[in-house]
Amino acid sequence: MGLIVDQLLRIPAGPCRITVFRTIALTLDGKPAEDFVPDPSYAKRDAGRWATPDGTLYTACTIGVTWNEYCRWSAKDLLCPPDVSGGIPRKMGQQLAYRAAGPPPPARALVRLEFDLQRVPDLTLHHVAQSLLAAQFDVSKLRSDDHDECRTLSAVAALLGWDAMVVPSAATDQAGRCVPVFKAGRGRLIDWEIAASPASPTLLHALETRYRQGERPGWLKMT
Amino acid sequence: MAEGLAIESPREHDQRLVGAAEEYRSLRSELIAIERSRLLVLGFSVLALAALGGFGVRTYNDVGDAQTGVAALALFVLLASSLMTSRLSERMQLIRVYLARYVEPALAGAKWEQRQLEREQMPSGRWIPRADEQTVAALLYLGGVAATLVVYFGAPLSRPAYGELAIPLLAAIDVAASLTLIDLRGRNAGQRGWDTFETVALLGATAARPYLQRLIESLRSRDRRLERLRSSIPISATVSFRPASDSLEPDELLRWSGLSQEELAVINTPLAVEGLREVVGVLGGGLGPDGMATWLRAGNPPRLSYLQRGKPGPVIADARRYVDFPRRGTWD
Repeated sequence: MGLIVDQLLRIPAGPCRITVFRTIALTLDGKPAEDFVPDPSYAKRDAGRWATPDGTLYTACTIGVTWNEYCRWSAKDLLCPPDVSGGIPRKMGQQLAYRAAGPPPPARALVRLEFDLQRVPDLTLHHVAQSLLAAQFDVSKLRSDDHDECRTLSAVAALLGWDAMVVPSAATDQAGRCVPVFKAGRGRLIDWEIAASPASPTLLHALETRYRQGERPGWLKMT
Repeated sequence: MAEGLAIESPREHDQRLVGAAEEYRSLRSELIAIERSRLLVLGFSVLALAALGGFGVRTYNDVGDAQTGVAALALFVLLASSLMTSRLSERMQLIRVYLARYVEPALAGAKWEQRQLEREQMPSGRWIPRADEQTVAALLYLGGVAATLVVYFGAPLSRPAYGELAIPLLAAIDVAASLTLIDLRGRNAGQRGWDTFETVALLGATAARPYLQRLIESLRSRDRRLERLRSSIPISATVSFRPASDSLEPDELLRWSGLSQEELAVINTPLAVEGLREVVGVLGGGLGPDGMATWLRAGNPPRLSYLQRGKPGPVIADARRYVDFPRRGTWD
């Protein structure tokens, strides 16, 4: 697939001071891994939907979407609780919002990051979607299970000098947004703090997550 | 890639800015016009209520159906004006969200509506959860309608109670309900309207179908319960296990795996034991002993079986997937 770069250049990419969230692994003593600060050299290269050769830092705009993304990623870990069979009974409704989904998946540290970015397009906006279509990018792929077209777009985006992009989250149907931060943007981190540690998604997060085709655990439904 | 590269010319840039600025001005003017209409409705209502109140006072001594009729008319005026204002508010909010989402981002420095909407989204110690507000307001509103009907048809049954207590109380409920519903109807219509529009536009009708289905389902009672839960969801579930101490002895590390003595006894090659230590070191902090054992026993074939066969490689690789930022120069 080839993208028409001059159409991508028409997409407005303005300055943006943004607060985002992500989760990070814990060490054995329950503290966040010591090297978690998103230094460019630590980001995984060529990994994930918005892969770039220099590594992409995956963040979400809200805590809820952060947990949805984590649940989607670790769908195979979500095991049926012992008191649940064939679905979550309605009488457990109140517990959904508080009961941990796991472990597994492992608890994480929830981190708030603040960036002062210079060039950030919002790909969730309607007029930007028109530009993407004009650039021959199929916008339905923004949330599909197939990452190939997204990876092509992120590679071009990093070359265009975008610091990050606001994109729709594939892990929720509730108009959640994610922000993959590229190498140019990672250096613009101005503040961060640990919002909660150890932290875990709730059953409600797991229930409301949009999973990859065929990966939703069979028990994860309301009965 | 350079072929066909065309950066927006200064003239095109200016034209786009001018277009956005004109749209901004035009929509702001429309907002002001709607606000004037709302004030007109409010002014008329106050005038009508004052006239009816005056008439009621004048006929105070003529206790009879005239007073009841006045009270009923006053409530009718309140209900009608609240409905009209509600429609106007809905239209205002649609325009405000449009300005915040589509027009202001194109205009450097124009942030008024964006900031206003952000301010409205901030938590403010509400005594009714946000998700329940609309239900409460709708109930109150129905209460207002019922009050009007009761006053109109039921007054002859116990006139003194209506005159002194019931009518002012019901009128107060009516006013509170109307104001709340006006605010909520407008706010929700603006946000939800554009959310739906954007999703359909962005994803196409086919891909957006699950979202629309969800929207429809959200109108059903079960999902309204979830919506209420969503509004009170904590940032994290409570994690029940206690973390390990800073430095664990090798034997303690194996115990932290949560495996039984029998399971551990089968892991008998130095390579597998070392592999288990590494896996526990990577994941034990997030899983705790019970979660660690569950994780090791899960999979098809179970991860534990790889360790028991002296082949820890796949299990170690699986554990490393959970770590986003490997130490410099080690794994990637």
